[in-house]
Amino acid sequence: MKHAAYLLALAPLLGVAPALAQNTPPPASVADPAPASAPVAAEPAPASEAAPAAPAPIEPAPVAPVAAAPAAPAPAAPAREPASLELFGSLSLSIAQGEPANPGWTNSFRRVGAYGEAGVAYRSKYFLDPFVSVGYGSLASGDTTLPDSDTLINGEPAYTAGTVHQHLGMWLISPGVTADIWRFRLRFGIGLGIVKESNRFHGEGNTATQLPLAWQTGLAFNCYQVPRFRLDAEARFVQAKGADVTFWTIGVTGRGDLVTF
Amino acid sequence: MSPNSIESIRLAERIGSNAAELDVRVTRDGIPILFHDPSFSSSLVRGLFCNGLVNQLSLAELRASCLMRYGEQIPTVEAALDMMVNETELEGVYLDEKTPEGVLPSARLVAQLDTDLKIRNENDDPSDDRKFGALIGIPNDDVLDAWHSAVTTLKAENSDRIAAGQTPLEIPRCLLEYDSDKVIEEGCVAWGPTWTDGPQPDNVQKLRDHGIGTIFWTINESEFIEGFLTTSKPNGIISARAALLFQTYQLIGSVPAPLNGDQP
Repeated sequence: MKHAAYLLALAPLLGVAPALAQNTPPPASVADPAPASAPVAAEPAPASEAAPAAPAPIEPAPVAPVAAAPAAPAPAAPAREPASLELFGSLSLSIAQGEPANPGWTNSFRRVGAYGEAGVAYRSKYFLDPFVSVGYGSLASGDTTLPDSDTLINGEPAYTAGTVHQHLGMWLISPGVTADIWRFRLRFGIGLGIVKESNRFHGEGNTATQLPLAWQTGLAFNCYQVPRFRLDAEARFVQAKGADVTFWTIGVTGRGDLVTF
Repeated sequence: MSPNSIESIRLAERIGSNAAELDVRVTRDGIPILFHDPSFSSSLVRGLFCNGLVNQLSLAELRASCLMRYGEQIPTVEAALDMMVNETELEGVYLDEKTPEGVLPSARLVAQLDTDLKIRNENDDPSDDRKFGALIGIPNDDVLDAWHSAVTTLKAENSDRIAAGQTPLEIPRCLLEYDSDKVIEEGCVAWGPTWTDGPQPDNVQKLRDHGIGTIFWTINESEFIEGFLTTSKPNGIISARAALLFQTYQLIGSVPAPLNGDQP
């Protein structure tokens, strides 16, 4: 019902008829009205064949009102989709923006990764649904081969030639809101990014961490729906400006009602 | 051009500076480098894998993952000092120590440099003399504590060198940024107050009476450059507009009274 309500509100702007709303039962107010209180005029009972020519006054036979028929529902307020506490999870391909600093030294570089997310949302009866989510993306990796360092420590190079294996990952903890418009769902969130830069050089691993603010925005399309479960295709843009990490994702999001109110 | 790059030091010389102020941090493996912020950000560096705090990456990881914003390499303090002495005519550097961890490795480099220059200037060949001074900049009490510790360490190392028959290293000189009275107390050769505290002519004169110079940072507006030059007559001003400072000084500046000892 929520979809229909939004579409009704937007119809003048979109230039579409509310009947386009999908997954929406016809409102009770437009159903065939049951003439509950309007008795149907009964045909007069046929006069007896033995009756004299002067017709006796005929009283209409009592007719049970149609309203009494069990098939006819009484008019009621439109049914409203219940509010719910929704669990959701998504799995996506990610594409990181940016380049390695030293392309001439970088032997291999992968910017396509994976992003997974889980969260909980409150599907309210109103336009905006708040959510909080936690996601992690394995965003990029590369191998960079260095020559001997030209910085000397006690007469020796600060490091000897070798390959640095690099990996970029990011956690995103983000509250935000979604808004349903027909079968589309807009998403916006802003929260904390935890950028993890992992390196391995000469067998020694090291991870550097940065905690920038991060924001996300996305657009999903509801592809499949059954009671209490929905499946969306979703594209998303995530940016942690302070750490200069930006990536796109495209994938699927499953949403199920945990509790309805 | 990125600040704290080798290229920016060359440019500073070309536009009239006679010294440079550089920001010092250390890598995870203890190598002092020139970088201003505590963490890597897109405003200062480039590189998809250039993330985290400066002291979380080793020099090798830094070289593999990071360049400065406009493509320059992040220099080590050693490389910057070497370039300034051998490839420019700059007369000094003020190493602004952003963390306590950077003080001892920077002080070791400066001690070695001062010693090399002293030997070079005291030999019989005046043609290779080189006038250059490096100061360790102390912005707060944490760095000051590290400075005390570094001096103690260098003096202990000098004792070992003397015992081994080697030439002891010069103990570096310091510049204190915050408390004018502490500058005298600590025996630093210069005071480096922020310009936002005003020209403070009385403090400048008080320190001058003790043979201590004053270098204000960082004044970029012409009216303030003019005001500070005429009001307190400092020994130096750090500015991103060195050419403007040079021109203003030529027009209205005056040479401060000579200091008692060495000056930057």
